[in-house]
Amino acid sequence: MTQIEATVAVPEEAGPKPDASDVTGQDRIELLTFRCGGRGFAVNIMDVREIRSWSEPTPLPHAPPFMKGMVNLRGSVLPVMDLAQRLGQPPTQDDPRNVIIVIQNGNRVHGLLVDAVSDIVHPTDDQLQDVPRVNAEDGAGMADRLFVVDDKMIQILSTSRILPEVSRPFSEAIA
Amino acid sequence: MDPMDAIRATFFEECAELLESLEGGLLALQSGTQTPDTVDAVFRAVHSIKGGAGAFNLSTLVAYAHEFETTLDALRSGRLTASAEVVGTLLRASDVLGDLVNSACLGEDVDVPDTSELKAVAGSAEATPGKEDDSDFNPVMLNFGLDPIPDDDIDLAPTPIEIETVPVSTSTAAPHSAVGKRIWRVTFEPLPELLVSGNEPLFLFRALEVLGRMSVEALDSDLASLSDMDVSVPRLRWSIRLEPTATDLTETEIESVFEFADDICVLTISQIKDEDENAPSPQAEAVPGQVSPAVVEPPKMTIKETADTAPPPAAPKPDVSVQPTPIGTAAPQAQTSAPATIRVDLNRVDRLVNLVGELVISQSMLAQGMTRAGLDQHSEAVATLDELQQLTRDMQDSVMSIRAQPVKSLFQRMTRIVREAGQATGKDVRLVTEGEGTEIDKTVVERLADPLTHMIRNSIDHGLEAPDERNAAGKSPGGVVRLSARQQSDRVVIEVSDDGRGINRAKVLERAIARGLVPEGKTLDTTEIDRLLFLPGFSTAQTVSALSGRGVGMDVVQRAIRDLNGTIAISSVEGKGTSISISLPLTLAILDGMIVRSSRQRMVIPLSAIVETQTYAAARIETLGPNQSVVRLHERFVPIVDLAGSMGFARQPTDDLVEDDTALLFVQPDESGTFALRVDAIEAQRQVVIKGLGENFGHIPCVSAATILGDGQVALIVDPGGIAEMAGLNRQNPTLQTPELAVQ
Repeated sequence: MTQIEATVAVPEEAGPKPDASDVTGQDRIELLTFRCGGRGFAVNIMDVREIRSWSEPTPLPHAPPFMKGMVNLRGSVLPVMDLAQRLGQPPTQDDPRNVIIVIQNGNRVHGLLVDAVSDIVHPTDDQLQDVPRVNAEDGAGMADRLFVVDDKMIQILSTSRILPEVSRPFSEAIA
Repeated sequence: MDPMDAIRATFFEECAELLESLEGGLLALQSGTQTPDTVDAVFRAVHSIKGGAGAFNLSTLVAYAHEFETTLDALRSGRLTASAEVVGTLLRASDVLGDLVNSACLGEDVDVPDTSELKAVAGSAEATPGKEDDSDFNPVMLNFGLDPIPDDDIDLAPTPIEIETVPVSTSTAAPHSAVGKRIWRVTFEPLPELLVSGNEPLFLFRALEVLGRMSVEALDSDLASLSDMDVSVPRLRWSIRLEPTATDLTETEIESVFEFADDICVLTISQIKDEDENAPSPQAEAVPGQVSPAVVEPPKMTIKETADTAPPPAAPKPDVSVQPTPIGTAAPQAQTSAPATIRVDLNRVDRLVNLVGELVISQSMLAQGMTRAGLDQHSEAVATLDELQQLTRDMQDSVMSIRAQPVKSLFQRMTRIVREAGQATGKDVRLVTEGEGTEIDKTVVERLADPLTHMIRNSIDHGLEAPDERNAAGKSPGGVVRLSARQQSDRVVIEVSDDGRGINRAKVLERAIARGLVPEGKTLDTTEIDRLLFLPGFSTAQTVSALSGRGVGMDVVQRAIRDLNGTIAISSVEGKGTSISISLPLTLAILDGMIVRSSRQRMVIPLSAIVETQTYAAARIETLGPNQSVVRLHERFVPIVDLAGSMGFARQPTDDLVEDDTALLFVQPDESGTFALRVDAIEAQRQVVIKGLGENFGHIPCVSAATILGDGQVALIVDPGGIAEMAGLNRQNPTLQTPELAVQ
């Protein structure tokens, strides 16, 4: 019987819904806004697990430059990337006010290094705009929607698209 | 999940176990190591699969299992002898049954496979064909409520209590003093969970019937009136009188019939002597008189009548003085029952493993803090910390042992691979296994299945010769593949060896040159040639067969083993055979490592890979070129690789100065030869908790995992094999580019 209960309990750790779909369709979404490289961004607050202060990460070998490394998140190893670099901007300057936003996407948990967290906002659906098609390279396709706060543009990021792809373990190649 | 799906999942899980015991039993028959119970166990396995399949309407599976069972029945009753031929057929049938279970699990629709072979074997048994137990059994089941004797004092409300013993009557002796034919009385009271989990008492009785002649009485005194009846609560109890075919039937054997219903029913098993046999009837008349009048209803009660007349569940139970005496001795169940086991979700165990890991880390943080605080070495706090350390270590060991599993199941799976590969190649192959009891972490066991399958297929396809070739070489026509496991200190060594033709090194070299893996004219020693087999894209098979030689070669096996923190080595004698051995850590949770510093980063090198250490100053270093130097280790020169450099970490200008602490670690990752890792300092040697990088990181070159050090910093666990690969040490051809970095 333990077995049955357990199997029922296991699937999906009641995690937040993965993706862009949260952004649309609901009357009011709750967003965490933050600054990064001088620009304003937001993520769905349901994707945010926690916000923690900056600590020096352990670098990863042969990783892309935006991968800052990994830090100890209460006993598990959390990968941290510099969001500014990920979006094609210069690296984030060292500053004690820098924070790591821990986001969750499916089973993956990732830390985003940003300048500072700003606010929690509840924009209504009609305040949100689609991202206009621009022939841009930088961070293209990372934002889902846009909206304006205090006359400044805020980009709502798609958590699934920010996360770098991981190479699959080799053992799968055997089968 | 739908509760039905959960039950279904449990059924298939049990099927896997049953198939395992089926195959294990058949293999025991094949090797002649069977015990008297083996055939019964095999029969029971097939029977349980059939029973469960019936509950889920898996008609194909039922049909095949039925044929299988019929054949096994002939074997069990002695009409058929377990000749090599018969066992061979049965083994093939067990493969088919396994396939059917698989496709049933996936919900595929398949036709009933050809059963002619089974039928032929069953038909070869002399005289009567296997009996249909369905038809045979039914009349017994109709013996509903003959004499409703409440012949034990089990509580009315079904509660999950320990196996309850029937009160011992003073007149009886100990079970073993009973002479002559023993009769068993089994009372069985299902708990509600029994029905929820899809068990069917009928199937249990059928399995019991296999043991001997039996008669079943249903005890319906607990039946509620129809209006009060809750269909999900079983109210019937059964009392079974069993006259075993085998006189030496033990209680454990009876208990094992109810194995799957172990904790979801109340079961009593006791022995009555032959002379007591007739006792139940007079007793039956005596008891009802003292109970409730309702129970004295005519024996031929139907359910409806019962519902009308039976006392409500709260009716007074027979008082203790009316204990039924027919039952002889209460056997000492407590002592004879098998060690209790529970099924636990693996996630729960993993959580525990993680927590213990955390404990180890906090404890080393505490130790560091205490040292910094300058506490006296003889103070009470330090002594207590030592004690704590001992306790955590013990706890770690016990937690790890929960995850440990014997490799037996893995090896058993390989017997099928051998059979199939032997058939496909037309070679006569025998698998010999050793050290099946060797235990290793469950994850390791699971992740070994693919590499082992690959290695065994390789052995059969490439290693073993065809029968006529073997004859010509003066070997017996049947080849032998040996699969062995043994523990060597804190590692497990698994070896696959064959008595085939061995590695044809000339051909290997020729092929490596043809593929541009080795420059022409280069001479390599035998181990270097053997190592070529692990290069990506290397395959010596002339023709691509269905079995192996698809271009996925030993390199993939090596990767898989390395992912498990293991190493792989190959040795071969031409004409005599090849042997590949894998050395694996006992656990994937803890690692003995050396903590080193390089370019201001602390990293952990697995102790198992380190052969020797030297201080840089004392080492005999020779320079070959601008960035190439070698060091003398005993009589050989080995290359020096800078740890931080090979990890791609930028060196600070000041780091280039060779410090006093600079050291060389001579490491030997599997087959790729020894090399020296230059590190800035060796800090400590310690057990570290392995934190898998898994889903968040994917595969990172040069790194096998990470750990958290005493001060809370994350440190990388270095994969020496990956470093050798990154530095291009495995390549015989220096002009070849290093492999593309698997970045992103």
